[in-house]
Amino acid sequence: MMNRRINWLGLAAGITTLIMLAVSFYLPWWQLTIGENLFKINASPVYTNFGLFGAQFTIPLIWALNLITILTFTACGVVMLLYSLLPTEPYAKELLGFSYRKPLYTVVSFAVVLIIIILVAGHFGLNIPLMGSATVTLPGTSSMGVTISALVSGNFQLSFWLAIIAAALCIAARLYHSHVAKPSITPETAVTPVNTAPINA
Amino acid sequence: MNKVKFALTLLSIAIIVGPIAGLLYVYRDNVVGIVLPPQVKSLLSGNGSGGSQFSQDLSNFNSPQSGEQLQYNPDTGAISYPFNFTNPLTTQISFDQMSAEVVGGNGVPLGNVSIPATTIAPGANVIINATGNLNENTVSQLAAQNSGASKLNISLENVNFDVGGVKVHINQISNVGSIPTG
Repeated sequence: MMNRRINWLGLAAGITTLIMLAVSFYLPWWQLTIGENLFKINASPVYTNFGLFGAQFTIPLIWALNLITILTFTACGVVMLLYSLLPTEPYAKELLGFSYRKPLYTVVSFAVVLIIIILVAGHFGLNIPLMGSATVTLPGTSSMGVTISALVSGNFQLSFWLAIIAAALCIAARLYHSHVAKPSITPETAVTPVNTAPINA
Repeated sequence: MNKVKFALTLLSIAIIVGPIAGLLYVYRDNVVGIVLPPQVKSLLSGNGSGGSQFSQDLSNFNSPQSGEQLQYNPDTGAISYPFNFTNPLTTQISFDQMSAEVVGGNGVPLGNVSIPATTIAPGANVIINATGNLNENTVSQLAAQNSGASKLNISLENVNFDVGGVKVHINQISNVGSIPTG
């Protein structure tokens, strides 16, 4: 019976990507809460929305970008699973090339955009914490005799950590590919030829 | 280019172009709506014409209204200032703390007022009673300085309140009412 080769790291990467996608529908990657849920930002490449006084809304452009990410992650997860089961096929490298980079690019892009937004907000006097809580005072209000401050907390959620794991597994699957795709040595070629020449006494 | 690579490239393009094309088609008559949802538009314009429950909620937001006159008992120094407030939102609002210093017309401190922690249910109208005590001697002295005036205008200073975790500090609210001096 022929042994079927499987890229186990790729299999884990595909499954983790699809699980992360499912979790991201319910948990944002990063959440910012102002006051007691007075204003909330649920940031995620999969589902970004805003909450104001308990009412939720999203921006259509962000919704479309989220849909692109959902479709990308779905395609990546499925193609990575397909590749993992067929790593020795001639088209395996194309399947792997399509699926292994995108989760990493998405995680890095999300983190970079988030950091840029926080730096820009800080430039305007709004020091939003990336992780943890802080009391933020609204800039420009003290001059009018009114000071508004609120407890602001920012936190990365489980889905973000799952995305990092998925991206890492995708990279590991790519590194493991050369090991899995290496042509196997058949028993015939492995046997050392025996000298069958007659021994002259 | 082999067939698999071609198919995957097509898939990548379709994934990106599909949602963007769909969005542009849906918002073809309202391009601004792509970046400005009705809720944000109604917030910026300051009216509730967005059509959603959210915009209606926000447009119905009125600041607390003074329902009755400020009441003061010159014998005990007790002061109460009732005002009513309607919560137009679909979520409850909690006033966790409110306190202020009561001062006379020329900034002389007379006493303090505060309200207890109050939670207002969605759509409910409540009368919130700010109560406190004024120093009767200071009130009498101030009245005497004002040629025996029967009423004394008061203001609030260092008004602090905490609504839903947001702390607001107002340095001064002038002429909130007048109290009888005797």
